[in-house]
Amino acid sequence: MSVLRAELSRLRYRRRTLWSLVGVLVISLMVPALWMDGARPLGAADHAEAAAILATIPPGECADCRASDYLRTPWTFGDVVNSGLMPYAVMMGALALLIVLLYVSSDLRSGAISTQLTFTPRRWVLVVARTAVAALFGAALMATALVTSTVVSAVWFVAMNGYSQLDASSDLLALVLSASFYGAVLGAVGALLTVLLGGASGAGALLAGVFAANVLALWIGDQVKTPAWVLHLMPAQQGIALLDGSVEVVGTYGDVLYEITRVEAVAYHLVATVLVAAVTIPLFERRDIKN
Amino acid sequence: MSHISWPDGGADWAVEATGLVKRYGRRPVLAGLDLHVPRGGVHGLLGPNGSGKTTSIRILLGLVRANSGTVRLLGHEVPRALPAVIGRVGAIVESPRFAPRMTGRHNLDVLADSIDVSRRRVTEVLLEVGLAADADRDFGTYSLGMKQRLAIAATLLKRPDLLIFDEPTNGLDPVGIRDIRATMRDLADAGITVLVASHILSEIEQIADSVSIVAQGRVVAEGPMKRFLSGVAPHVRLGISRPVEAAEVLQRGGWRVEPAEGGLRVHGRDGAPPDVAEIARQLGRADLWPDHLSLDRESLERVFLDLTAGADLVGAQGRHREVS
Repeated sequence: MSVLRAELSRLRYRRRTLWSLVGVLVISLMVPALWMDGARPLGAADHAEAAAILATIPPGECADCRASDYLRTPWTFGDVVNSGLMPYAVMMGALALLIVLLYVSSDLRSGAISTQLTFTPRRWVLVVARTAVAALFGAALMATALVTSTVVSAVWFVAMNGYSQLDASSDLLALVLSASFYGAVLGAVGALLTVLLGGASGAGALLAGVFAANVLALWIGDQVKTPAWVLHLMPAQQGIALLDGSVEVVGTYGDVLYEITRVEAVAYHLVATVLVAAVTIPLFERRDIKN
Repeated sequence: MSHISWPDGGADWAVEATGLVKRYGRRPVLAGLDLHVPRGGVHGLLGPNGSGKTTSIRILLGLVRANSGTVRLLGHEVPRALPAVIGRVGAIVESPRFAPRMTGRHNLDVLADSIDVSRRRVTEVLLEVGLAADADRDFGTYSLGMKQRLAIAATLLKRPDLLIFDEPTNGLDPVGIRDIRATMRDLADAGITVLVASHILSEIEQIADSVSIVAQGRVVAEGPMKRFLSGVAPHVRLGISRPVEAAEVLQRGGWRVEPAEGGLRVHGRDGAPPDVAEIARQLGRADLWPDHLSLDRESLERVFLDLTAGADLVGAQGRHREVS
């Protein structure tokens, strides 16, 4: 517990911690501007635009068409959550990971870890404590981002549509909690890989490579033909399932070929973290600390 | 090993290492190093750069794992029992390493938290090393001397029985060097065993009570400093344009003379230190006038050179000296 307390003190004393949280807060205050236009109620401009579209259709080509067919559908608050906040959570995950990698690697760069190890010779204790604090930091960054953007989006939505339109969104709480959990997992895995590979650049490159390969494989591959177990192992699929609630792959005839649920995604991320820890801790125990 | 051994065949060791071997890849760093550090006083670990001093210290502290050999620290086998003994061991390995963007006090707070030491003790050690006024500045803004003092403060958080310093005066100005040496001596006088690794002969000669000489990954000699210095009397360094004639004059006068770089080295008669004024008088009577005449005490350097058969080290005057 004393090492964990020391690591919490280190997190608190680093000015980078506060500035990172402030930076995330500022970004999250502004970023709802990207999607809140979709929740704007219909106005004269929308009707004029729909009429203009209708006018471009040659006479007689679509006798049943009405201008109202070309009106955009204003987002409900549920749409704001699923189509605005959820993609933002994915983006924030990458940023939170980067911040945590830099936080953990700074101690390796400065050599302060040597000094700490002369106080804490049980290296596994130090790794576990540092990983736990990195997880906390990652979760705090994600929670800050999601809560801030949610509040801004909700206020903005009420301002445009009135309080009565603010429908209950059962996905919201799950999204905020899942995003915080995702931040914790990214923080923990990022910290472990930084310790394992001796710096942020190696850990960042490895994680970016894994996600890029995953996305590329999904993009160029045929999900219908790909064995389901391969898709279940993909971190991008599991990450989206965690944040979005589920990922489904539908076959040619609309049948669900496989589904990754949020529960599975939580288990996947916990197991992945434990596996990375199981590799990192023994290797770090044997490593020569030369700086 | 060329021994200047310990009296009475052994002692109560603060550090005892046997047969330490360490290789980085194929490069051997330690080749069966045996080290004994008696409890109490200052023990010097003297050797040229690259001789294996820092690696030895890192092995003592569990930062580096030896390929073979055993280490006992205050009677505990390390690294296995390191957690049991680390609370009694303070160490500064090479340059002080702290988080540069955290204040000196916060750096110590983190270390204090990790061993359940109170914030009050942090303030005490900052006062002890004279850093209280600068404690709330970032470590990265400290001078090298201040960084060393903060590192000493960190070691004192533990109230240690053994302190290990690796090249503690590297890069310090003369005042900083004097302060650090005085601090090490004071700590030893307070009953703490101080192990100091250095490649500076004069440093070890000034502050150490005992010494181990390391060369090429082995301890080639170790023992109390008095034994190293006994029988090696001071000598006179003589710079002169006519060294052959000067040597004849001095040998007729009973001095033992040997050639040296830039002139002669003159040893005293009957084991007594040579009298510089008498040498000058004898030379003057023969119309021989020295360019340089000084009494030198580089006895440990002589011992070192004899034992290591030539290695790079910094001599008694603190300059880098190539010995071939």
